[in-house]
Parts: sequence; C-alpha cells; structure tokens
Amino acid sequence: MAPKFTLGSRSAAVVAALLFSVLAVPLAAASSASPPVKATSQVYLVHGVPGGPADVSVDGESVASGLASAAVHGPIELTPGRHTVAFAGDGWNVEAPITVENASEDVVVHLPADAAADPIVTVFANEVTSVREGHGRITVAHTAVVPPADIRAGGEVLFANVANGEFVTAEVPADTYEVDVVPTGGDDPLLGPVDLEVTAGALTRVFAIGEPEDGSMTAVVQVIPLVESSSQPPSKVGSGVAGLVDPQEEQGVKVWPAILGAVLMGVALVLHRRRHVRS
Amino acid sequence: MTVLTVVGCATDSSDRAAAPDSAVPGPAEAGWRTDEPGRGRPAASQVTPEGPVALVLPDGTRMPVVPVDTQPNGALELPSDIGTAGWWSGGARLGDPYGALVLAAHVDSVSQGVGPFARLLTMRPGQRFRLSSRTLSAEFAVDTTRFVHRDSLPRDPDAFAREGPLRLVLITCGGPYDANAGGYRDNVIVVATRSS
Repeated sequence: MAPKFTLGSRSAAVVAALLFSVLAVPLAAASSASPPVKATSQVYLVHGVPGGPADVSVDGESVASGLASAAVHGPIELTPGRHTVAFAGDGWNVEAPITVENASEDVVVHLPADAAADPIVTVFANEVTSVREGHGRITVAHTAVVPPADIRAGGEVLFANVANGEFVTAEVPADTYEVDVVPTGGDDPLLGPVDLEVTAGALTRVFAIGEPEDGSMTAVVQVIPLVESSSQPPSKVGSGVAGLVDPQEEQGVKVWPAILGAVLMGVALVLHRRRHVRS
Repeated sequence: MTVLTVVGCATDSSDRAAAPDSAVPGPAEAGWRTDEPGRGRPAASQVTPEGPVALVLPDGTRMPVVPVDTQPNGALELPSDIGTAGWWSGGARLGDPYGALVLAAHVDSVSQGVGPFARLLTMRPGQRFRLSSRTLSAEFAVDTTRFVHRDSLPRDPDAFAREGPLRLVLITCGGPYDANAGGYRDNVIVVATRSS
C-alpha cells in the first residue's frame, strides 16, 4: 500500500536531526567511556579448614604460605574474571577455578556438608555499601560440617535455616551480641554462644567452620571497613501548625470562627449601609 | 491475607531469584583437583530491607509514605500534604531486625484541616497498622500511645531508637496549642510492635 502522505522538506530535516541525535548519542557515550577504567576487585583468602596451616596460590603464584587455620589473608587485587586458586593444607589440597565478579570478595576453602568429602572453595560477595549511622553490617556464612542451622543473637533467632554454602546478612546497631548457632529449630548450640562485637561503620563477617564430631567447630571473624552514613536522628518533629486538635481549644475552634464571621458580617453590613446612605 | 514475616522468614523471592548460584558450575562430582567452586548463596530466609511506601491505619485509611531526612536545624523534614507520611530514612526499614521504623505526619494544616494522623491521639493498644514496601508487608499492633513534651522527644526511649526489636513509631503533634509559644506543646508517639 502506498503511503498516504509524503515528507515535506521540513519534516525530512526533523527526521534527519532525530536520526543524527539517536546515532550521535551512543557514539559520544562510547568515546567518553574510553580509555576503559581497569577496575580491580579486593579479594580475601579465608582458610576455613580446621587443623594445620595452608599455602595459597592464585594463578600459579604464591600469595600466602603457612596461612593458619581460621585466618584471613588479604585483600589482594584481582581483575574481574576467571582465576585459579589453590590451597594446599596438611594432607589435603584443592585447586579451583574461580570467577571474580564483585568489588570485594571472599574466597573460602572449607569443609563441605559431607564430612567425608574433601575441602571445597566457595566465593562470597562482600556487601560493602554504606551503613546507617551507628550501625554495622553482619554477615554469617555457613561453611561447616553441620546440617542447616539457625543463628541466634541474645537467644532470639536472627537468621533462620542457613545451609552449607549459604549466607545471611543484616544491618544491626553497633553492639556486642551473644551469638550461637543451633540446628534449625533446635536449642543445643553447635557453636557458641560467643560474644560477637559488631563495630559501627564496618562489615563483620563470620564463617562457621569445622565439624562438631571432632570438636573443631569454630568461627572465623573478618572485619572490613565501610562508609557510615552521617544522618543524625532528628531533635524535633514539628508536625502541626493550625491548632485544630488542641483539647483545650476544642470549643473555641468551633465558636471563634462563628463569632469572627458574625462580627465581620456586622461590620460589612454597617459599611454597606453607610455607603448606601451617602450615595 | 497472609501476614508476611519480615524478619527471619522467607518473603523476598526476588532476592533468591537473583542469587547467582548458576554463575559458575557447582563443585565437580569427582576429584578434588578439578573442583569447580560454588558461589555463596543467600539463604532462603534472607530478607532485603526496604523503605516503606504505604501505611494503612486501623480504620482503613491509606497513606502514601515518602522518605524524609533530618534537616540541618535538627527538625525532621515532613511532607506538606497532611495525607502523606514521612519515613525517617536514617532509621529502620521494613525487613531490618532492630530499631525504630519512624513515620511522621502533620496532625493538621491551615489549608487542609485535620489530617489522618490526628487519629494517633486516641489510639488504643492492640489497634493494627499495616505497613508495606515494594515487596514486603507487615502488620504492627499498637503497644503504647503517649504525649511527650516536644523538647523531650530526643530522650524518648523508642523514638529514633537503634536498639531493640523492630517496631513502628508513629509521631505527630498534639497537646495544648499556643501559637505564641511555637504551636503544639507535645509530640504524640504511638509505638506498635510486630504482630503476626
């Protein structure tokens, strides 16, 4: 079907301008984006296997030797993308390709849920966004040979039903918390209770590691600084301006406008009459 | 309607859907030398806190909620519309385990008359509020209603509290009004705790 209208020269110019702007914007964006910023990630290496120390290498290069069990090494800087990490411990070793995706990551070697299996590597993203004034962020990761568990603070379940390889996180007021780990729905601690200090303006990461069978359950605690918001609590809330809900003036509210209205009407009437008389 | 739990229970399915558990293959079945590492996943119980967007009063009145912050003079910024509540964005959010989630609104205005928050002045224990955010919702039952001198507000144990279980703190003005002495003498504080 033939078009029922044709483009005038003015319309053509508008279309050309639109096309140009559509094409030019991506070009401009592309040119302003170069040269590409080579961002690196902060990567921490966590030894979460009970027992002796481990040697750690990344992409074939040694980054830590004799890293004690339950210790954290780093951060080291890695470019986002694929890398190979190797942990060599006392009677075990594991070499694993990892993918670095976030600005801050924890690479953890730990026991899997099955005690008979060899250690595995799990990568956890560290949430390093800012926290509210007076608050810290706590993250608990389950990297131990125990079934899904509840994490309690002060006897109350703070995080429910966390399984091996999973984590939970919350922003909490800076304080010392009495924390324990119990089987989901249970009451008999697998770990703790321990006093855990959560610092304002910091990410406190806790890894539950080990296995209850041989008494090797323990916690790795890692603290990463964060930006703390400076927003202060208000000192006042001025939330009323009209006096309409004043209990003492309740009658006055209704009566005064009526009286005022009557007076004004009276004045108006008088003025009107006077003017009428004069004219 | 089901009461969604915002602390410690599964509510935020979007969060789980976003879990990058398929970003890299899981651990290989055999052989420790070629183990492909997993990526740590949020537990199903993980809740991502959100700022509230709507409040339903016990009588069914629905108020939109907008974030507000402390102004340089120390006063909480408030929506000029008496039908809108301001949420203090420096306080707790829905889904946070601890602290006061503070909402404030004008009790009245010259142009709009008496607002929905005037109902706070006569709130009785047990009356229920429903608060919702983009993906979360929770019900709170009134625990206490009190009038405090406006100068004493910063010392109130609940208003702006960081510690203690998550609770809804609703603030407006009340008490005797004296235009020459800065308006209302008191702040009205309603504290409501999670009911589910």
